[in-house]
Amino acid sequence: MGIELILITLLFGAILAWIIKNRTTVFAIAICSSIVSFIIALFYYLNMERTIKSFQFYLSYEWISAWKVNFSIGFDPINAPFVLLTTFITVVAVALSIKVIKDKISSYMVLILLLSFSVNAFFMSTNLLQFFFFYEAMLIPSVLLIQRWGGKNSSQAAMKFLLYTFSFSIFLFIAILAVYFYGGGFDFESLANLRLNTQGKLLVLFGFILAFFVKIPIIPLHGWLRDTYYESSMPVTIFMSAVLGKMGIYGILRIIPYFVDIIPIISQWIIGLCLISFVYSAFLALSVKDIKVMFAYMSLSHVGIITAGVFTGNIHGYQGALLQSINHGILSAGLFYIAELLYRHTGSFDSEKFGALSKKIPALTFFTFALIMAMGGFPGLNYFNGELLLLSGIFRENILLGFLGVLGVSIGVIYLSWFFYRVFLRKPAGELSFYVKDAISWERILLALFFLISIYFGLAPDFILSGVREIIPFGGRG
Amino acid sequence: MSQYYLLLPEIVFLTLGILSFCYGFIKRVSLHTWALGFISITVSLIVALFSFTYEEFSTGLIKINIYNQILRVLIYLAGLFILAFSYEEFKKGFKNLEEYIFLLTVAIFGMNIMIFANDLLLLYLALETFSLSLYILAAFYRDDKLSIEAGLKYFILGTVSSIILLGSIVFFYAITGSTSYDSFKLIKTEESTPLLALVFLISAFAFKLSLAPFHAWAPDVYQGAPTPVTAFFSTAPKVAVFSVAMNTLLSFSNEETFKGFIVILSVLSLLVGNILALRQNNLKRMLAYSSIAHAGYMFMALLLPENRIISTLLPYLIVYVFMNIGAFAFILSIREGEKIVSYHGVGKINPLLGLSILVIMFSLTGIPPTAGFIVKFNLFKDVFAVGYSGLVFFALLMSIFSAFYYLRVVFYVYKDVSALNGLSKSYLNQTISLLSAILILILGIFPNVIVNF
Repeated sequence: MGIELILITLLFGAILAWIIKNRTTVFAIAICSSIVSFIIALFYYLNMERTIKSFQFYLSYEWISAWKVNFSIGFDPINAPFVLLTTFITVVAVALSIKVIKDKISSYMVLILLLSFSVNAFFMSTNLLQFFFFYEAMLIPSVLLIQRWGGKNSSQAAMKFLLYTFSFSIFLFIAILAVYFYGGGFDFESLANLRLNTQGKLLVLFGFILAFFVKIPIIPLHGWLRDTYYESSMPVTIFMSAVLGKMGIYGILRIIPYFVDIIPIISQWIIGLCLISFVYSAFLALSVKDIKVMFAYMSLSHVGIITAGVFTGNIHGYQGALLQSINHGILSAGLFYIAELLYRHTGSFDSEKFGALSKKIPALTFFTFALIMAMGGFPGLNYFNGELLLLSGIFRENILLGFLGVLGVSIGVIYLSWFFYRVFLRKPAGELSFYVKDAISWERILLALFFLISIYFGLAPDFILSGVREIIPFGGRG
Repeated sequence: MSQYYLLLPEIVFLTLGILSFCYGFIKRVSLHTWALGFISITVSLIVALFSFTYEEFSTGLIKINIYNQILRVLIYLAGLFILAFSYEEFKKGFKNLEEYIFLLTVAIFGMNIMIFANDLLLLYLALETFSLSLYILAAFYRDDKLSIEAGLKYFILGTVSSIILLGSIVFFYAITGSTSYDSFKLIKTEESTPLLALVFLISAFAFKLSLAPFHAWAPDVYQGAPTPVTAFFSTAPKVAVFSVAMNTLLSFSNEETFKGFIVILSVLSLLVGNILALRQNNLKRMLAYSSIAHAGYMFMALLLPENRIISTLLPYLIVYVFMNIGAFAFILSIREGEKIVSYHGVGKINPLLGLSILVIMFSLTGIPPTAGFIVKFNLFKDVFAVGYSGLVFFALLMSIFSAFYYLRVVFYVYKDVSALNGLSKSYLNQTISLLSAILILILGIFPNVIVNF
C-alpha cells in the first residue's frame, strides 16, 4: 500500500456517495473520505526523502501495453506539495458545501470527489499520457459542477470554460505527440532526450505553454475566468482558483527544467507577458466593486507573477513559484470562503452595501484582516517569502521587469486594503451590514487553520522548499 | 465444401431470414416475426462466433481473416440492436414489420458478403444488395413526406454512386484483365486511366461513407428515415464500406496522388461535418453531420502503412458503432427525441439515462476517460508518426467545434427547467443506451482490449 490510497479513498468515497442518497450520510462520507485522503497525503509527504531527485513511493500498473504506457504514480518534491494542497482544498470545499449546496447533494459530492480524484491523479502521474488523460478527464466533473450548481448563466460559463480549456489542450496534445516521437516515449524523462534542434524544441515548449497558460490563466487567454469564477457555486470557485489554476503552474514547473537551455531565448518576453497580466488584472481588481469578481481578478493577478517566476530560469524564481502556488492556493481559498460568509445571509457580493462590520462580527474581521495582511506580503506570514523569492528572481533576470513586479504587488496591497476598508470599516454602514452574521464555531476553526498554515509557512518555508535546491529535471523512479 | 463453410453464418442467416419472412407473411403476427428475426440474428451471431478462425483463407471470390470476422460480428451486433430499437417503434402500431425485418436481413447479409469480398464484381453485387434494401428502408414511413424524400434522394444519389463504382470496375478490368483485388498490385497510377479508375473507386466509397463533398444526401436521409433505420445507416454500412476500402485501397497506400485524395476528402469532411453540425437543433440531423466528421477522422487512417491501418481503424469502428447505437437509443427513449428541446430535465427524471448520454457525448467529443479519446489518440498518434502533423492539427482544431455541439446536448439534459415531453416507456432502449455507455467507459479506462490489434 502506498500513495495510491489517496486516489482509492477519494474514488471509494465517490462510489459510496453515488449509491447512498441520504443527505447527512453523503456529507459524512464525503468529509470522511476527503479528510482521510488528506491525512494519507500528509503522512507520505512527511515521510518523503527530500534529497532524492526522483519519484518516490513509485507505483506502476500495466495499462496500455500497445503504447508501452503504464499507469504509474509517484511523489517528488515538486508534485507532493500540490497533492497536499489539493487534498486540503477538497476538505475545505466539501465542508463549505454543507452550508451552500441545497439540492442534488449526492451527485454534487460524487462530482467533487471525482474532480479531486482526477486532479490528484494528474499531479501524481509520472508519464505524459496519463498527465494529459487526467488533465482532460477533470473537465467532465468540473464542467458539470459549474453548470448544474452555478448561477443564472452557468451554462454559458461552463461552455466557455470547457471550450477554452479543451481547445488549447490540443497544443498540449501535439506537444506530447512530438515528445513521444522525438523523445522516444511518454515518460517525463523523454523530454530530456528530445532529438530536435532549438527551433523544434521551442515549438514543443510553446505547445506546452499555450495549453498551460489557458489553465492558469495568463492574459490574453483569460476570457473564461471571470464568468466561470462568478457563475460557479462558491466551493467550486474555491476549488478552481486554488487548485485548477495550479495544474497549469505545476505543468510548467514540471517541464521547464528540461528546457533550461532554450529558456533564455524567450524568457524576457514570457516574463513580460506574465507581469503585464499581473499588473493589468491588479487594475481590474481595483476597478470592480463586486467582492467575488474582485477576488477572481486577484487570483488572476497573482498567478501572473508566479508564472513569471518559473520562467526566470534561476532557482529563486523557481522556488518562489513553487512556494507561492501553495500559498496562493491556501489564501485565495480563505478569502473566497470569507466572501461566501458575507454572502450567506445577505445574498449580495456588492462591497458598497456593507460597512462598519468590525464590531458586529469581530472574529470574521480578525481573520479577514489576517489573511489580507498575509496576501499583502506582511513579513512573517507566508506570502512574504514567496514574493521575496519571486521578485528577487525577476530582478536578477531583468531590473525593469522587476519594477513592473513591484508595481503589481503595491497595487495588490491597495485593492486589498480598500476592500477591507469598504466592507469592514467604512461608516456609515451599508444596508446589508445589518444581516451579516459571524462565522459559526467550526468555521472559525477552519479560518484559524488557514491563519495557522499561513504563519507556519511564513516561518518555515522549508516545509515545501527543502527538496528544491536547484533547477534539475526530476523524474525517474526511486 | 470448406469454402461454403467459411460463409456458414451468412447461409444460416439468409435461410432463417427467408423462413421467418415466409412465416411472418402468412401469419402476420408482428411479435412472432420480430422474435424470429431476433432469433435468426442471434443464431447467426453465435455461429459466427463459433466458426471464428484465426487462419486466413483466400479463395477466388472471398477472403477471410481475423479482422473481417470481427467486423462481421460487429455488423451482426449492430443489426441486433437495430432490431431491438424497431420493436419499440412497431409497438406503436406500425404495419409491415415482416417486410421491414426481411429488408434488414438482406441488408445485413449484403454487408457481410461485402466485407469478405475479394473481387470487384462480388463487391458490386453485395453493395447493390444492401443498398437497394436501404433505399426502401429509408422510405419506410410511407405516409411521411420526409421519409419519402429521404428514400428518393438516397436512391437517386445512390444509383449515381453505383454507376461510378461500375465505371471504376470496368476501368480496372480494362487495365488488368481481372476483377480480383489481387491484381491491384500491378497497377501504376502514373497513367491517366488507372488514376481515373482509382478516383472513381474512392468516390463511390466516399458516397457510401458520406464523406464531403459526397455528403449531400446524409442529413436529409438521416432526418427523414425512421429513427431505427437512421441508427442502422450510421453504423453498419460504415463498418462494411470501411472494411472494403481498407482491403481495396491498401495496394495504393504508397502513391502520393492517392494520399492527396485521402487528405482532401478527410479535411473537407471534418470541415463540413463539424461546422454544419453547430447550428442543428434536430438530433438526428446533428448526428448525420457528426457521422460525416467521424468518417473524416476514420478516413485519415488510410494514410497509414498497411500494418497500422487495422490497428487504428478497427478500434475506432468498434467504439464508433457503440457510441452511435447508444446515442440513437437515447433519442428513441425520449418522446419527440429528435428535438433538442425535449431533453430538458432528462437527467433529473432518469439519472441513469442522463449519465449514459453524458458518457456517450463526451466520448463522441473525445474527452477521456471515455473510449472516444483512446481511439482518437491512437489514430492521431499514428497519423502524426507518418508525417502528417498538419492534418492532425487540423483534425484536433475541428474537434473543438465538435465539443460545442455534443456538449450542448449534455447541458440540455442537465438543465433544471422541466419542459419535458416525457420519456417514452421503453426500458429496452434505455438499457441499450446505458450498456453502450458502460462499455465505452470500460474501454476508455482499460483500453488494452481494443488497441492491441
